[in-house]
Amino acid sequence: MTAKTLLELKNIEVSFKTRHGVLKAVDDLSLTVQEGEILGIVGESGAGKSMTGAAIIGLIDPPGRLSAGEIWFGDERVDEQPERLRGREISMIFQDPLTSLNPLRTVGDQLVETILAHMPVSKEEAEQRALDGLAEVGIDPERINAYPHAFSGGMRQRVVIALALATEPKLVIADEPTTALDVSVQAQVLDLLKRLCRERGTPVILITHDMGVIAQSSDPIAVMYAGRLTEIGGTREVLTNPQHPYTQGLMASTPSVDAKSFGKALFQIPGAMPKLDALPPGCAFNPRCQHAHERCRQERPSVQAGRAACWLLETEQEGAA
Amino acid sequence: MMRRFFQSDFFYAFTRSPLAMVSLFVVALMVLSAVFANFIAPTNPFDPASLNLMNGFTPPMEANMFTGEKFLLGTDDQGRDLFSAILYGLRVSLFVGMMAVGLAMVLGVLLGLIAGYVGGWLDTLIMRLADIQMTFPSILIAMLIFGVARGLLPPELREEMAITVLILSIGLSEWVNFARTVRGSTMVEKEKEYVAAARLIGLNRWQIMLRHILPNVLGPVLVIATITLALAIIAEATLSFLGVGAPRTEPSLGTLIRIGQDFLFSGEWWILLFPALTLLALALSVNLFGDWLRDTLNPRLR
Amino acid sequence: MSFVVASDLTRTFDLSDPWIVRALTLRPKRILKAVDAVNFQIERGSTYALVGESGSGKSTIANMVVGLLQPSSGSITIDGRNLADASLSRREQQAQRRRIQMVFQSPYASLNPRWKVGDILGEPIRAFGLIDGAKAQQTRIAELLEQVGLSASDAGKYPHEFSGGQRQRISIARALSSQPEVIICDEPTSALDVSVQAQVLNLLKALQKDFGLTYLFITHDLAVVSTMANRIGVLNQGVLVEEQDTADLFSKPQQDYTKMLLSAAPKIEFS
Repeated sequence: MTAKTLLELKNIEVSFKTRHGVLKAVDDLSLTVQEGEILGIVGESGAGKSMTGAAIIGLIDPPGRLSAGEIWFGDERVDEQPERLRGREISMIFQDPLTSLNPLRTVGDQLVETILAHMPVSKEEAEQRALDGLAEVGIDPERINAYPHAFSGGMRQRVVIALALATEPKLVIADEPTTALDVSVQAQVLDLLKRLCRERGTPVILITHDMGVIAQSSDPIAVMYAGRLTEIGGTREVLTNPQHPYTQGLMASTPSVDAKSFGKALFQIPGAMPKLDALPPGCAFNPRCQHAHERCRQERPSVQAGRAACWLLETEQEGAA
Repeated sequence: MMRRFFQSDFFYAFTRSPLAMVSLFVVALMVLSAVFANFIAPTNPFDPASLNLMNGFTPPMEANMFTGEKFLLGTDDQGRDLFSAILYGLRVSLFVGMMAVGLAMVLGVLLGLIAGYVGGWLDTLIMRLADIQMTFPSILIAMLIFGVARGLLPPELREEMAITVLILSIGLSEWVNFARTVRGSTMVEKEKEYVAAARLIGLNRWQIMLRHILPNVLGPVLVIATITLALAIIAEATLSFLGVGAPRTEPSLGTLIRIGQDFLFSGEWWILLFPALTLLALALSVNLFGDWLRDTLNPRLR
Repeated sequence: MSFVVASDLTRTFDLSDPWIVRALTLRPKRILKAVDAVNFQIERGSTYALVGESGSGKSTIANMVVGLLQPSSGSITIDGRNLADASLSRREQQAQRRRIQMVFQSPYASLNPRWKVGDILGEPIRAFGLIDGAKAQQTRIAELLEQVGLSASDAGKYPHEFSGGQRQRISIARALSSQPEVIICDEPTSALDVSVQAQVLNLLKALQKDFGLTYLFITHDLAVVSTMANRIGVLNQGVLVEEQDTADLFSKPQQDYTKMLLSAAPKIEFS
């Protein structure tokens, strides 16, 4: 396991100053991304996963800001000026392919412009790379002069992937890349992303709320709740043997394509994710957790055994020791 | 409910903006002065019995050489106290302005709702009418309507009805902005599922338009109304200045400016200056407040 | 007994250019057949799911079943009566409307943001003349709110004070307020998070049992369908390509399109 650590987030915090006080969209989050892996960040709305992606690439708009922690890319600390790497070393894929592409410019123009902006090549070479890029994502290079509206949703997202990979980045962040697509197209786009990144050894951070997508496309995964990291580990391990009660609840409430589930009630986690201005003291999940005890209500748990932020694990550890 | 308003983000933004607070203060001051003109004004300048021709052309704060009376802002050619005249003039200006905006708003919002919700040929008709009207400057439209209305009225009524005709002409020239905006918002709201839900319980078009859609499209209307008020006030002043607006017997600020203009170059500068400054302050404050409203309400509308 | 019957249901949309443009460019008319001769039947008290991707026509069918859209040809009858029948009086139309309501996809656009929740729930009650007197209506509204897991005091609040999942509950309460027999659920949980989805789906199941409701469930999510529906119809570009009971569809899919959908659905399973 000598994979190099490409990205490291150390205790980062993204906060917003509002008239109700300071809200922490991401609170004391630490994780690493190794070369060649696809890290999945999964969570429900408001969990802070998109904010994490935005923090890495420096796209947080005021009044939000990265208020604490460090971001290391390779051997450099980059949280002071993340814009330097944006587009060149780190690129991003957004959810809605309709608005990610400029409707007034051809696909070819956008590719060439991106390449020229970040790489020291001639125009001819940029055009050649653009053609190659399109071919790689499975689009007929003849369509290089077409406008975005001429493509279907799935094809547009492929163009966006081509754009993201055109500058040969060291890291790709994909924020809900398939949420707006039909199921059949979704599978194709995910496969494409996986294949290309595996071929180039480019790590990907895949952000989504869809457990199925995460299960099939990423390894390892990180689960977020109310801005905090709750569980992290190998995908198979986390999803088949979840340690954190929230992850356990999520897995139990996800319906599966299974004829036998008809007529039975789904497991449901009582309550709802707290809003950022109404977080409970201690563990953010404690009001909804059936295993919560006194310590959970008072002290926010740190990540135990490198796996889950839950005091239950600590008790187990001590018990085992 | 008032408590909710004072706790709202809108009020918070208001207290943070000196521009908003000052402009609203000025407008409020003027409105109150106009409303209570009877009590504040030292004289009633339009009661012929109280006028003394000898008081004419008295400069501000100087004792009149014949009667010894002092007037805060001076007097005009017929001995009217300018301060009182301005207060009463404000009343006319504001009254006409607000009534005209009210008319334009009701007409524009209704037509916009119908055009947006019903669509089809009715929409086309209303929008083409709007387009045609927009090709003419609103002052010309107002003058046209004014002229036609006056022509239709028997001579005895012309003077009396001058204010009503003025309101009508300005109001009818300003409906387009309201209609266009409301039509756009209506077309967006129409597609939302709560409208479908209303159709599912058998509500008819009017019920849906007025009960469901109207409350949701009124947001931008407030901003347009404020800005249109400034336009209406200026329009009224312009018409009165040109002599086709408020008559001398019930003058608005515009009429006073017209009167003052005659005497500007013979040295009685105050007769023009003070009404003009008042009009400026009023229009500017209304405009500034309207601008602030538009900027503040905008991101929240989305 | 089949309660809801769709016969040769068809809907076309005219997407042609305006006639002047067509006359000048000599282009033909363009007609889109969104729904093509679809037939299905729903037993009383059961749940029938229509599954398909975008453009399959499932939402168009939902709108026709509930009466928001007229079929171009074919018919929809509920308990033998056709809402689109022009000979019905206003009274008969209202009576028919009351029996079939809808829960929409978007929790944000399906509730009027300027209305209090109590008014939103009270409107169908008043429109259908179900209960007279403000006091009795308030009681009923409180009852509805409690049935969907909210509290009576929520009647005084506005929709934006609630989360997505809670808003869907309010939508369901509104649908229930007219005491319908059939509810069309148009992607009711597609916009919700997983844990919230579970709550809403469980609620729908419980209500079906308590009130003997018949559901037409529209979705693109096969996993949701497997837990909710007795019978499934698969739509591909306006055509009903396969129709089977749930267990059979998953174990023995007949058509290639169905097989493709089943294999493309993201699953949480590891070999």
